[in-house]
Amino acid sequence: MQTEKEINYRMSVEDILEGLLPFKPIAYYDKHLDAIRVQILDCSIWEERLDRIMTVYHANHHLNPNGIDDIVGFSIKGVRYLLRELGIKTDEGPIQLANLLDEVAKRYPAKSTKLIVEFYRNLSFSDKPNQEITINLLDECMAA
Amino acid sequence: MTEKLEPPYLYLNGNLLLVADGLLPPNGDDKPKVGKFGILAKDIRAYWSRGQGVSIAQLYELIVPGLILSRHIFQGLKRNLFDDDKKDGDTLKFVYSRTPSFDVSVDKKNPNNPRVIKVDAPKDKVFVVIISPNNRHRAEYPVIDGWLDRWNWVEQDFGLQEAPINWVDRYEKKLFTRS
Repeated sequence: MQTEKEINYRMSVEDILEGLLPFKPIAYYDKHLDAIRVQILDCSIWEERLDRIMTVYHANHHLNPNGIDDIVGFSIKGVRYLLRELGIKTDEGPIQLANLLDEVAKRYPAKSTKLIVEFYRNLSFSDKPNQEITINLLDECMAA
Repeated sequence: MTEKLEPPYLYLNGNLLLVADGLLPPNGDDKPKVGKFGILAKDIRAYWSRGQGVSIAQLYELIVPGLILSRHIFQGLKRNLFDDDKKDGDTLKFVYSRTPSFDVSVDKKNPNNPRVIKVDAPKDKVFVVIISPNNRHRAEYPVIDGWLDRWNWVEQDFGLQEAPINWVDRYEKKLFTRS
């Protein structure tokens, strides 16, 4: 994680962005929308709702010259409900994202789930193998 | 204590907030009134810490000046959502949508002098902001009507201009459309 940024009332958006380090893939829990979010690029995104659990992120401004929509992340929605359905306890510390995806794929073998699992398998986080990426639902921390 | 600062900031109850004006979800047949929607500086810091510069740029360039221009307001996300200790958190969320004339990007070639760049708005997409009503924290933040939870683009509906695709299925109800 990058160092903390102090924000004061005199700051413009450029002031706030000053010192922003090169983006690294992230995985974190969004407590406001009860969703796990994975994003691999800092760009403007459009979200495609695949179903009630999975949403995929596309880059708005095409990354490749063919103009094909690029997937740059995904979210798993309704995480607290989902964990309960899957019998995964949240009070025993951070959950492994790869394990969660495997469990979701077993319980809901939908095309959307397969797409997300495949995307996640091919991801490259900066400092950890994908299998070791964990999400802490208690403190909304960044995992990678 | 409430200390009024230069817009778009407010200092409330010991915390700095970025605020945007927007229409309040209408109550009955009354005309919608203008309210204030905020995000705590600590939440902006979280975006910064994750390196999400474009989201920060969208917050300042599309939401602060543009939330008031929203074309539609919807309520209810129709999905499981546990928020603020409430199991039915999805029913409480509001979705504001519009089609801004531009989008933003961040030029990071010089990290000490990043620049926000206006770019073309993505074709056939609408910009949505998900908002939580300020129910639980009204005592600490009395002038804040709602919280800016999330913002991004989605595909535009085929039948209703400036509305998210399949809005009938995605949301519980449409509360307001600017004529």
